[in-house]
Amino acid sequence: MQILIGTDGTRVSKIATDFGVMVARAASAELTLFGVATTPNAETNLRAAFAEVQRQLPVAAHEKISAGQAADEIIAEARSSLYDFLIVGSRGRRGLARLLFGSVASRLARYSPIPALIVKGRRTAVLRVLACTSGDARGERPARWAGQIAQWFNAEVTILHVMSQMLLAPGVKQDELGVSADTAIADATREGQHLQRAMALVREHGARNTIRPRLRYGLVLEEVVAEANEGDYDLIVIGAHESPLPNDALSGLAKYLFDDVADQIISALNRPVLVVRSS
Amino acid sequence: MTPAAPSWLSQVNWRKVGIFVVSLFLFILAIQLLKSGAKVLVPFIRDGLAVRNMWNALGFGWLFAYLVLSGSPVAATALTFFDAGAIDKVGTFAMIAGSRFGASFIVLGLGFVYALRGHERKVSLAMGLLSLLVTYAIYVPALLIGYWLLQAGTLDGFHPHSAQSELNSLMDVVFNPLVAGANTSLAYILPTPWPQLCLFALGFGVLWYSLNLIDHSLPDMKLKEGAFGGMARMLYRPLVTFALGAGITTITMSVSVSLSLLVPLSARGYIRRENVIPYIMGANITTFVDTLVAALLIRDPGAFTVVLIEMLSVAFVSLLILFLIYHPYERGLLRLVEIIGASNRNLAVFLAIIVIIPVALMFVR
Repeated sequence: MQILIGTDGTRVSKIATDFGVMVARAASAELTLFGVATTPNAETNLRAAFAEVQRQLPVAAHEKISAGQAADEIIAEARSSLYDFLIVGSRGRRGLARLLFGSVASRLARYSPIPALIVKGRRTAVLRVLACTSGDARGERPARWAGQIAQWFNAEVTILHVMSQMLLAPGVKQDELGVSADTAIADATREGQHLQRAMALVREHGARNTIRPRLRYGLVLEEVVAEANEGDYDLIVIGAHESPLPNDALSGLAKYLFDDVADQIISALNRPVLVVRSS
Repeated sequence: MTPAAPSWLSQVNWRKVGIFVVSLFLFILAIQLLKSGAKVLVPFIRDGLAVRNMWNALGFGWLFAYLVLSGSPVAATALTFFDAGAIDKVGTFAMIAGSRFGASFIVLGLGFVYALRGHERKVSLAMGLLSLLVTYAIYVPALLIGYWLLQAGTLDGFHPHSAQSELNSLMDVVFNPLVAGANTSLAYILPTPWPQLCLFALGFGVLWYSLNLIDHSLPDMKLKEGAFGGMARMLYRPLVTFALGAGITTITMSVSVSLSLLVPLSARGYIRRENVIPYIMGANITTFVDTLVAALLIRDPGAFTVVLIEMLSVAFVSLLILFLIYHPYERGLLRLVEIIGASNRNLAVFLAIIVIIPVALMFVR
């Protein structure tokens, strides 16, 4: 397992690297610390931040420093090597600040070619993992990752599927709108089958602790955020559409056409979120 | 040897094309009949029904749409009342808006009937309530903007009358003899003002029928779920769904028809909450396309301006919501749907309110 940690030595990055070190220890993974020097003096600060992280590690991590735009450089590094996922911190900018200054974490969550773990809020253990699945084949990837992470930490996993559907036309059967996850599984509805498949995947990927299916009804963003906060989960795993290429005209168009729920969830939560794209 | 016809020709449903041509002919005829008969109704509307200001016109359009279970014929009729001088521009604008308020009730009415037949009320009524609330929430602020635009006369000079002259002469040749013939025949058998009243009633009936016929002439758009693989994903962005709602309703000219076209997106007759609100918002703008056509047929520049302002003010409010407050707006509406649908008492209160309001509007002086 190879993990790339993007850091700039700030307080937010410190929280992310601490979380990354915890994950690396649990997964017995190799770490690469990656920094982007945006000013001439930045390299010295980055080296100091790297040294602080190295002191916590039983095995020394690789170190890399690049120059340029932080998000672009991290994406380029993620593309060039065989990392399994990357970890970065998020300042949690919202509203106007986010609009004006953007968010490196948000850009990474959208364009990273590998799963991106965006760390917000300090967590000292991973006891509960929430895997949000979309109800189709794409939704199975978060389940696999949730299983893997649950194995590292012996964590409990909850598999959440949100049904935001409402009845469109008279005469359509509405039996499936409103049932519990257990009933959906017992009745083998489409969502029930999906939850069952996701539970099997979590187990296959090593989870040994409790695995719970959960169905919620309402707006996807609202329900995911509500479940994450109510269940006090330590890590949220979400799926997302295929990662578009940055600076590509078609991807630019896609950005305006497709809603990015993953980005909205990251923005709304103060917990680590692993974004697993379908590509 | 006869050359083979192009493949697309063989795929054309000529029956539907025929129905469309007939419905278009009837639509134009209906507008001419209404226009010809509306003048005699001026005293009745002003004195009998006491439609004298914007609020009365709003209530009148609203109740009229309840009565005929449709908004489009009422909107087109409002234009003929304007042409006859029964109501002014602001009144016409308000009556057309009222027709949309009344038309949205039909979706709710269908849901209510469906609920009475034993289906779970909450889900059966949700779509109807949502459609109704989206319309109210958009049109109320749009009314204010439209009122201001009409008073300011900003768009008064904007109408395509010059490009229409040849089409108008052709229409005169075809439809004037038909309207005049009907008028003369009725005048033989009925005393004044009954021929004009009958002409108006006939026009309204033909209009109602022609709009239904247009719905039936639409090509079958029930695609298989697989065909929407990528599209279902696109639908997620509110602005895209908004554009889709506007686009599809431009073709279908009916909000309820364009909503029903969404059914194959899920194959199970479900639609995502995130998608439906912007879709209805888009549909609410282009549902005026037939009214815009009616305004062109009436040949009154003022009528065209009124419909254009109606569409622009609704579009402006919708886009403002989409860009600035979409998520709170979405949450608020869905919460309201939940509250109204939570019990029979809540629903009854809501239904009473939306019947009392238009009646009360008729008495505003």
